[in-house]
Amino acid sequence: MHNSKWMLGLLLVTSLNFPDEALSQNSSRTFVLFPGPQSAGAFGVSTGFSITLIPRAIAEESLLQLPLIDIRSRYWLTDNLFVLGQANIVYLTNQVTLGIGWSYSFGSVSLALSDEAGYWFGFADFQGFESTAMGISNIPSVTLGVEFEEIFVTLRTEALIPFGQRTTFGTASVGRFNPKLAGFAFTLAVEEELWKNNYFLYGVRVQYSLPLYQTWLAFSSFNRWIVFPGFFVGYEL
Amino acid sequence: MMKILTIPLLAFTVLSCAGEQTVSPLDFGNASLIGQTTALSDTTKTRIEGIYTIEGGEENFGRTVVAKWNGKFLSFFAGTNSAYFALQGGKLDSTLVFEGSWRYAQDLNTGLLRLRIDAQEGGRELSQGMIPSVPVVMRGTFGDGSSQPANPIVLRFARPLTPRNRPFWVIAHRGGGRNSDLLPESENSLGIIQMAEGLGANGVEIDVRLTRDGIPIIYHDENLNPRLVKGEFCIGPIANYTFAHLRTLCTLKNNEQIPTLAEALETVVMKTSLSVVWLDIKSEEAIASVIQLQRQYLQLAASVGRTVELLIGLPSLNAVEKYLADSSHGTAPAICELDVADVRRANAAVWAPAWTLGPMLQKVTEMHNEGRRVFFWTLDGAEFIKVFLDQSMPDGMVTNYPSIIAYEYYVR
Repeated sequence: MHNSKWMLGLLLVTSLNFPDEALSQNSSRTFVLFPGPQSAGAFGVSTGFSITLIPRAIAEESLLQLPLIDIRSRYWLTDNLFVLGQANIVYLTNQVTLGIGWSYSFGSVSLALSDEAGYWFGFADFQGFESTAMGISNIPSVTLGVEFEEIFVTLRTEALIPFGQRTTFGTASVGRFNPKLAGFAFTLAVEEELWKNNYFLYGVRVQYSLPLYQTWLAFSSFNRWIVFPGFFVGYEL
Repeated sequence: MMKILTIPLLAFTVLSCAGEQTVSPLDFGNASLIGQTTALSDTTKTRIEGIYTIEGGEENFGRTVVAKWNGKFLSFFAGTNSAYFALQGGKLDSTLVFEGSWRYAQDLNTGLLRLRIDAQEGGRELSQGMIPSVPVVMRGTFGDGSSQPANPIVLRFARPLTPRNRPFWVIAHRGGGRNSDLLPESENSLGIIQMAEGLGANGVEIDVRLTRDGIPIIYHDENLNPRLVKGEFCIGPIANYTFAHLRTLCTLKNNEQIPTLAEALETVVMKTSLSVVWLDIKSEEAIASVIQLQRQYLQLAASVGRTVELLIGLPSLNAVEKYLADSSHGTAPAICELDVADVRRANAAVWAPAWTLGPMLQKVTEMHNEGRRVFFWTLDGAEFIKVFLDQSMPDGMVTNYPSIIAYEYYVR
C-alpha cells in the first residue's frame, strides 16, 4: 500500500508543477493526446501500434509479445469538454476505452481531467487452449500538456481500477467482481509534425500494477505490483 | 535531435529500474527450540491433522486452516491470502512445539511462527500417541518479516480430515515452485524438491533436458538466461553446453548447482516422502536415458521401502514415438499430455491435459474407466481449482501454489 501513496504523491507533484510561461496560442491542429485548447467540434484520430513488455517473471520463454493496433481519437464537445476513446487490438488481447474529459489551458500549458470506461477481451483457441476472457475497468486520469514551439508534450497519469473479469475454459466459466485500485500508469508522449503536414505521436507508457488484462493468457496469479513498460507510435490522420 | 532522444532515454531508464525483489529464508536461528525436542511418532502426527479454527490471526490467515503432515513438515493451509505455514515439530516433555514460517503464496508477505500444544490442552496425550481427552488447542505467536513473533494466535481443533476413498496428488510445478515466486530455493533444484512437501505437495513435476554430452539434467528453459541462472558466460541453448561446462560456469538463481536427473531422483527417494514424480521431458532425445534412470531409481526406492512413481512425460507426438520405440517402454510408466487417443496408444498410466481446455468430465470418466488417472496442469487460482474439484474429479493437479490446492482439497 505504501507504493500507492508514493504514486499518488507523484501524481500530485506532476499535476501542480506548471511552468510559468507567457501565454501563447497553441496550434490549430487537433491532437489526440495533448489536452487543448480546441474549439467545439474539433476531432482528432490517430492510428499506429503499441506494445506492453510483459516482464520475464510472467512471460518466461513462452508468451509472445505482440504489438497491438492502436487507434486513438478525441472529439471536442465544447472548448473545454471532450470525449475520447482508444482501441488496442490484436485478437489474443484487446481493449476498448471510452470516456469524457475536461480541459483548461494556461497559455502553453494545459491540464485535463478525464475518466474512461474500459472493456477488454481476448481469445485463445490454439493448441492447449479453449479459453476466452473479458473484463471491465475504470481509468480516471490527469493529463498535463506543455507546448514547446512545435513540439507538444503530454504527461498523463492514470489510475487503473479493474471491476471484474470472466474467464471461460472449455465448458466451464469463472467470474469475479472485485473493484479495487490495481495500479497506476504514466505516459510521456510527444506529438509533432515530422514533415510537412504529417503529424506523429510517439511515447512511453509505464504501468506499475498488478498483472492486468495484458497478461490474461498467462493466467498470472501474482498478487504484487510489477513494472510493465510500454511503447507506442502513431500517425495522426 | 535531443527532443527525439528524450523518449528512448526515458524508456531505457524505466527498463533499468525494474529491479528484482527477493524474499529471504526465515528461521529462528539460535532461538530455535526444535533442537531441544524429540521426534513425534507417526500416530501423534496423524492425530494432529485436521481442520482448525483461528483466533487472533484472522486478518492474515482467515478463520479456518487445514493442518496436514507432509513428510517432516506440519503444514497449515489457509483460505485467506493464499497463506500457508510450513513448520517442524517435536515434543518437550508433555508439550508439543512447532516452529517455522508463514507466507502468502502469491505475494511477498512472510514471517516467523511458533506454536505449542500445552500438556493440559492435548499435549500430554498426544506426546504419548494417545487420543486427546480434551479439544486440542495450539497457542503461539507470529511475526512479520524476520522479527521475532509477537502477535498472538490460537488454533482450535474443529474436526479431523475427511477420509478419502482414493488418493489425490498435489503436484508442485518445477520441483516445488517458480523463481518468480521468490522462494528461498531455485526452481528445479534439489533444495526446492526437499521443500515441496512443506508447501503442501505430495508429488513434483521436474523438467528434463540433455547436456551436449548426453547427461540428463533438470532445467526448464531452452536457453540459459538470467531468469534461471547466474554466471557471466551463461547464455544460449543449454544443449550446447557439456555438463562439466555447466558445473563450471553456471549456478541456479539461489547459487545451487544445476542438478542432474540422477541427483534429483536420489533426493526424492532418499530425502522426501513424495509419491509421484512427473518427469517433464523437454528434450525428446533424453527419453531412452530417462527410462534407464527411471528403472534404476525405482529399484532404489523398492530397496529402501519407499513407494514412489516416476512417470515419463510425453508432451508431443515425437515424444510418444520415441517412447514407443524404446524396447522397455512397456515397463516404464508414462504420463501423456496429448489427447486421450494418444494416451491409449502410449498406454500411459496418467493423462495430463492442460486445464485451459476445461474440465472435460466425459474424457476424465473414460480414463478412469480404463484404470488411468488424470492430472490437470497447471492450476494456480483458487476459483479455477474449485471448478475442477467440483466438475471433473481429477486424481491430481499440477500447481505453482501447492498450498492453495491443498486447502481447497482437504477442507472439503
